[in-house]
Amino acid sequence: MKHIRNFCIVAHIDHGKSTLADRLLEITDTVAKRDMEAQLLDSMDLERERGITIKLTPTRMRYQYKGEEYILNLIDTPGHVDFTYEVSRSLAACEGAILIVDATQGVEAQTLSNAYLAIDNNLEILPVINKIDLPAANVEAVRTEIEQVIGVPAGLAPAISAKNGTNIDQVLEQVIELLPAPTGDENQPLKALLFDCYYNNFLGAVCLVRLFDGKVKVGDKIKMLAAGKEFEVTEVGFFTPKQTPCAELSAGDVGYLCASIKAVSEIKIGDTITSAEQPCLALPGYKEVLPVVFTGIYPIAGDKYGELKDALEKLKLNDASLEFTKETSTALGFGFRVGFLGLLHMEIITERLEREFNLDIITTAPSVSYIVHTVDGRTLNVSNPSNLPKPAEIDYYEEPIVALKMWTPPEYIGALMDLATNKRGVFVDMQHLENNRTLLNFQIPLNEIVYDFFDRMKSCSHGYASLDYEPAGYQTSKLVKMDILLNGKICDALSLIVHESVAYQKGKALAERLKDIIPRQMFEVPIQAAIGGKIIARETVKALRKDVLAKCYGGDITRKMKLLEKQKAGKKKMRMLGNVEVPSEAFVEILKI
Amino acid sequence: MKPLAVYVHIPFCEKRCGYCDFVSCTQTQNIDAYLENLRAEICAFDFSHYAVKTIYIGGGTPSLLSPKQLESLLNCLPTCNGEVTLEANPNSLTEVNCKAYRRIGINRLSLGVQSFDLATLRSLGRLHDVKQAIAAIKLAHKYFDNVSIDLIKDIPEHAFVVPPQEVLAMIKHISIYSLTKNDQCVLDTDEPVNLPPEFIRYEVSNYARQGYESQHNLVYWTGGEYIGFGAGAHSLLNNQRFCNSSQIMNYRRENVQERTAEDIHAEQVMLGLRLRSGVALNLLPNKEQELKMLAEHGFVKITPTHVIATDAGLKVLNQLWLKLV
Repeated sequence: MKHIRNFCIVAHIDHGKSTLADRLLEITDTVAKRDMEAQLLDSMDLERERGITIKLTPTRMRYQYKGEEYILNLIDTPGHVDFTYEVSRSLAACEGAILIVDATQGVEAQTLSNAYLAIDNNLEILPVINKIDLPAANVEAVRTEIEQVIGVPAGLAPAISAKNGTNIDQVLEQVIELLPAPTGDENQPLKALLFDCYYNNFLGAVCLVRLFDGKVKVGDKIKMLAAGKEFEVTEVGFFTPKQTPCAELSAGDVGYLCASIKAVSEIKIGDTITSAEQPCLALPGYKEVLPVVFTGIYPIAGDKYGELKDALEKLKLNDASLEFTKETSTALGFGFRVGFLGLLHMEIITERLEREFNLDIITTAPSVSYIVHTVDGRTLNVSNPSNLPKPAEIDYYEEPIVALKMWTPPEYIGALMDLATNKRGVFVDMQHLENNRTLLNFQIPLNEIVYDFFDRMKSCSHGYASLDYEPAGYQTSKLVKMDILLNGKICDALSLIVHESVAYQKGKALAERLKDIIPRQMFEVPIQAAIGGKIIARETVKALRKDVLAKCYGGDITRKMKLLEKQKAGKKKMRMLGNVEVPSEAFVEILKI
Repeated sequence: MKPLAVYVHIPFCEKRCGYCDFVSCTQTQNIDAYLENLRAEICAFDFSHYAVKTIYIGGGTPSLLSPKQLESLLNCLPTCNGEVTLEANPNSLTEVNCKAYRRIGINRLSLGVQSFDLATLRSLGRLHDVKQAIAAIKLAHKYFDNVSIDLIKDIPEHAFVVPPQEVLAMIKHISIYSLTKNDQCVLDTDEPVNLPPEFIRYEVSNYARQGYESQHNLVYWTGGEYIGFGAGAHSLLNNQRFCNSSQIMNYRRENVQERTAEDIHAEQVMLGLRLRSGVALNLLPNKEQELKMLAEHGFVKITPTHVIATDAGLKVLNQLWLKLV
């Protein structure tokens, strides 16, 4: 066991985590150079395209050091604020963490939040300063910043260029020298952490596990403690990063096990796996993160409800943070209310539904979870505007607020202050940090930042600012439900909960936006915004005056049909709401108001 | 013997018109060489299983050909006892030619008049004026019972002008097309066309006196078989659609496409909606709700056997098709 190191890499987004992981795989000959694809561990197309890591991929590497062979288990982690949960899961399986800091950017929002997460999990932190090949690199300043801001000694931190492969061996040496080996007893009953799970069509659920005590091999009877289910192990192994079966896994190892687990509901990420005959005590649960953003997801074609359900269940298997419950909308039919960790998480899930499962879906406006107090003294949690009681029954609302931290160079303080206060943020304080950076603290309603706050912050700081937030309770707030009427009928899927002070302005902007988005149709379509039955804005989509292929002679029918088929393909992206065709993007476009 | 319609394309013009999207050019010196290819193409076609019901010589400007050249083409084709149409331009129609056209078997003239307003003709770049147009119609009428004219409407800044009474009295058929650019109507409005009631709108852009509907075009619109000869000509034979490429001096057959059952259905609905005869209801099972809604809003009328687009429906035919396919 003293030759095993289990570690992860944490960093702010774009500081070079996946690139360093690639270099480690190369230098340990885990992956032949010719098989190297840039960012190997990011196996999803979506991950490569966006340059982000979503799923964890634990990889076993072998490395000779001072005449002895070490097994290094690397667990790659996502870096975006939405995926703190995934980070916390991988941290629970490790003894140490490499903390990468960009030599040109210094400590940023997620550097800090991920470093603290690692420290909270009692991990040994190994700082590494990356991108020393860039002209703007300032290694010494970053060393000082790491020590001052994070409080971790950085004097020995390797200065590397993951891109060029400079000083990568120093990183591996420090992993072996400075990170602790796992402790545990392989003669004790099996005690393993189920920290992630993939779905494989042939094997069923592939459970990613970290063994703390005991051993596991094919044929063993295992028990999932929280789920209370027992299974027989059909395969154990590790990733290289290819799935590689082996004879057994023992205390200290990171690997996978399969046990013919077919039903998604049988798996609980974070569960303790133990021996069915000799159960151990459950491992302490690690930080669970609750979804903060909720949205309705509906199939464009009503008969795809079953497929959507299957797809969400499969995604849920890999993504414990995804929550969904059945929901019915008068406008959109059967669908789901889905809870996400943030907007990026939501975008990724919706994109995966469309790409990997080939589903055309409609996403309704994201909402947060409000507490509604009724006049008769009841308290309700409402995340779907259409589940609100009638206005007369509502006494008052409470909405979730967050403590928002924004790191920025001083020249953008003004713009960021404006942004946050326009979004009903309340300024708390400001701290000047090393490296010409400032930390702004705000209290801000969560629903103001779930839409496009991140993008706006990036654009008003030329990309330099970064943010992080954490829940800070609820506060009483003057909210109203705004309905949108199409052709005189309320379209529940377009309803929003908004702050009273901006309701009129939003209603007007929304009606105008919808007028642009909804194409002309055979009939005139009135669009109205209403609060409690009172119309506050009205626009009209005029009827189509003409939509006809002019001539059809010379016998060229094919071209005409192609034009019509194109028009038909466009229609597929439309959803009928009563008699009105609404493009599916309308539901998301309205958020940008 | 299967019925067959024959289209022959003559791509030569004195001048190219901006609105025309048929294959055409102005290199009239190539006519003889082109005709030689064309005759070879026609002769290579096996007509033995077909009865040629209509012939349509279109362009381009087929009236640029001498009667002798036209005769040599028609001689390659089997005898046709039905409609034999020649497209002609008003500025080049002569009495001598009219006589000759009749003699070689042509029995219908389609004149590219386009407008009865001089400013409109000039903006379209046509070579004739209103006087010449009327003179050509008179001449055609003198030798042919069945005369058709083409008109264009929905032209920006040029209101549609209804043909004068004396013209209407001489013609049997009028095609009126919306001006298009890249297959899109240039205007999103639909100018009203006020023709006397004896001109029946039997297709969205075609009007005819009773019994004078274009038999050739009806073959296209009702799914009948047709063969096109010449550059850019289209065909439907044995359930395959294909066309000749547009290189005038070196065209070849391309884009051969076998129609699926869905293709056929989609075409039948599209073409049927354009026709006064409508779409047979048995082609539209499970569309009761859509039909009811469209009828309630006055876009279609429903007979016991057919659904027929109304004037309001004819303006938004694409939408009707999208609802019904």
